[in-house]
Amino acid sequence: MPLTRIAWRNLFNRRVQTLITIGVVAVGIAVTIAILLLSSGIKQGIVRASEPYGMLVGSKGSQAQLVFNTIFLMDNPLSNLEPDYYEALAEDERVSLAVPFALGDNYEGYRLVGTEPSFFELRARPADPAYFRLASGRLFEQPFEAVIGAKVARETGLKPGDEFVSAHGVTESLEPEQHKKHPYTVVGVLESTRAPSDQGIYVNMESYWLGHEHEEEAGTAADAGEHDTSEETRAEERGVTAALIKPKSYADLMTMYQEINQGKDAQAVFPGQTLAKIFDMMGSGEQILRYVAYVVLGMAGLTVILALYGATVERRKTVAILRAIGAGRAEVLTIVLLESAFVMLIGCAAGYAAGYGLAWLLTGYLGEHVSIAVPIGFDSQTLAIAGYVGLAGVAAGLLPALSAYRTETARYLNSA
Amino acid sequence: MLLIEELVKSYPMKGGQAVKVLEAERFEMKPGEKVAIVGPSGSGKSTLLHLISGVLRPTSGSIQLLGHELGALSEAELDRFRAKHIGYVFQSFNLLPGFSALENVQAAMGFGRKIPARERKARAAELLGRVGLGHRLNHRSHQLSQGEQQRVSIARALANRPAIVLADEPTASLDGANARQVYELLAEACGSEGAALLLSTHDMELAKRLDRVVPIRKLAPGRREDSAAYPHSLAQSV
Ligand SMILES: Nc1ncnc2c1ncn2[C@@H]1O[C@H](COP(=O)(O)OP(=O)(O)O)[C@@H](O)[C@H]1O
Ligand SMILES: [Mg+2]
Repeated sequence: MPLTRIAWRNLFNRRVQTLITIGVVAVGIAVTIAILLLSSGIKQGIVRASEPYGMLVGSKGSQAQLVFNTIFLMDNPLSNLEPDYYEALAEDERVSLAVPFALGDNYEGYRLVGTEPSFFELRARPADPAYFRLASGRLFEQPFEAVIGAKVARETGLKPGDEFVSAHGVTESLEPEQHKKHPYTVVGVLESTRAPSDQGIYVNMESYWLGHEHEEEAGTAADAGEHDTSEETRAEERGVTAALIKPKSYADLMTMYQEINQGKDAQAVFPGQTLAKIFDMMGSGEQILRYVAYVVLGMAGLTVILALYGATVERRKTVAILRAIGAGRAEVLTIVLLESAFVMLIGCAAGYAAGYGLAWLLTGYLGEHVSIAVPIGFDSQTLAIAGYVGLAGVAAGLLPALSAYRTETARYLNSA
Repeated sequence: MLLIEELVKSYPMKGGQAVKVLEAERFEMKPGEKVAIVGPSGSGKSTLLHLISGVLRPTSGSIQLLGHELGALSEAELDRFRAKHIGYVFQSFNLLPGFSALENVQAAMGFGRKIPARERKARAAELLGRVGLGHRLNHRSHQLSQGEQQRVSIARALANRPAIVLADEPTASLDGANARQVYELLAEACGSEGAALLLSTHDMELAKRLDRVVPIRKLAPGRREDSAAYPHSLAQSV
C-alpha cells in the first residue's frame, strides 16, 4: 500500500482532530491575508480615486481638509479662494486645464459640488478616457441642472427629469426654509467610478452661487447688521473651495506648486502626497492590526504543534504495528511527515482561498458604504505567508516524525 | 530453516545489574513445521518472538533464519527481511485503527517493493475470503468482532507469502469457541500457504494440536536453577 494512502488513512482516522487543525491553520492564514490585502488595497483604492484631480489649490489651511473636501466630498469646506485668484490661476499660461470645485449644500446627505463642464474632462492620465462619464442624460448646461453620481442615483432613486431641493450644510437635515429654495433638475447620471465621487451631485458654478445668494438674502433678512450685503460678501461668495489644476508639463507643475505655496493667498497640494502622510499616521493602527494577524497565526501554529504532538502518543502504537508488518524507520518517518504535509497543504490552500474571499467580501462592504473601490489583486506576499506557514507546519511535523522514527517497536506491540 | 543458539536477552536494571528475561541454548525449526512455545505469563515468550522477528536485538547469541544470521543484518535490511519473510499475529490483534479489513491486509504489502494495486487488492480479498471474511472486506477494524479481527490479522500475516508466521498468544483474548476456530484457521492457513508457524501460548490443550510443543524453560535446561537473576515466574513454568 503506498505510503500516501497510509498517511491519508491515518488522518482520516483522526478526522475530528485533523479538521480542527486544518481549520485553525486556515483561519490564521485567512485573517492574515485579508488584513494584508485590505490594508494595501484600501490605500491603492484611495490613491486611485485621487488621480484624476491633479494638483489641488485651495486657501491656506489644512492639507488634509482640502483633500477630504475634494476627493472624499467630506468635512467642512476650507474658506473659499478669492475669485480673482482663481481667475488668475485659470488663465496662467502653464495651466492646461483648471476646474473650479465648490463644496456646498447637500441633498439627503449627498454633497452638492459646484463646478464647470470641464470637470468632466478630467482624466487620471492624459491618455486615459475621461474619468467621469455619463451613464444617462446629459451634462448640465444652465443653472439648477444637476448631474448626479451613480450612488446618489442608486440610493435616492433620482433620475433625469426629477427635481430636488438641497439643504444647507454638511449633513442631511430638515430645514423649514427648504421650500424657499430653487429646486434642481436632474439632467444626467454618471457612471460609477467606484470612488467617493459617486456620492456627489454636480451643478454648475452659477447655480451654486445663486443658491447661496438666495439663502444669504433669506439669512440677512433675519439678522441684518451682522453681514454687509455689500460687494465684499458677494466676492467671498463667488469664490471656490478649490481649483483642480492640470499643468502643461511636469516642470510647470513643480514651479507652480512652489510659487503657490510660497505666496500668502493659497496652498497647493498633491493629493497623493497628503494621502501618503495620512496613511503614515494610520500606519500605527495598521501595524496593530498586523500584530493581531501574527498573534492569530502564532496561535494557529501552536495548535498545530499541540495537535501533532498530542497524536504522537496514540501514534506510537500505529508505528509499532507498521514496523512489525515490515515498515522501515524511513517509511514511518515519511508517513508521519506526509500526514503533517497534507494537513498544512489543505489548511494553507483553504486559508489562502478564504483570505481572498474575506477580503473580497469586506471590499464589497467598503464599496457599498464608503464608496471606495478596493482593488484586490494577486499579492506575492500572500503567497509567501501561506508558503512560510506551510513550511513551518511541516517543520513542526518533524517533531512527531522523529519520535515515530525512534519508537521502540517491541515495547508497543503487546499493550492492548 | 530457523536455528537459535546460545541466545540471551537481558535488560539493564537500576543499579547496573542486568536481568535476564530469556535464555535459549538451542532451538530449531524445519520449513513448514508448526511449533508451540508454552510458558506462563512473563516467561519470555513475547521476547523470543520479538527477537526472531528482529524488532528486538539479542544481548548475545545467534538467530539464523532462512540462512541469514539476523545479527549480521543492518536494521534496514532486517526491516526488509521481516516484510518479506515473516508474518506476525498478536494477542491484541494490532489492526491499524480506522483501516478496513481489506486495507489492513494491503497495508502489509509493498514495504520495500512495489506491488500493483490490482494485484494487492486481489490477494488481500483472496486471503480474507480464505479466513471466512469475504463478506466483511470493507468493515473497519472496530466494526469487527474480536474473532474477526484476529482473522484479519491472520490474513495480514500471510499477505507476503512468508516463510514463517510468528503468533504471540493469538487466542488468549478470545473465548473458547472463537479461540479454537481461530487456532485451527491459523494452522490451516499456514499449512496451505506453506508457512512454518511458531506460536506462543499458555494453553496446553491448544498447543498439543500442533506438530511439537516446547516448554520455554526447556530452552535453557542446565541454567535453570543457578540463575538468581531470573524472574520468579520462570520457576513455575510448565
Ligand atoms: N523493556 C523491558 N525492560 C525490562 N524488562 C522487560 C522489558 N520487556 C519485557 N521485560 C520483562 O521480560 C520478561 C518477559 O516478558 P515477555 O517476553 O513479555 O513474557 P511473556 O510474553 O511470556 O508473558 C517479563 O518479566 C518482563 O517484565
Ligand atoms: Mg507475551
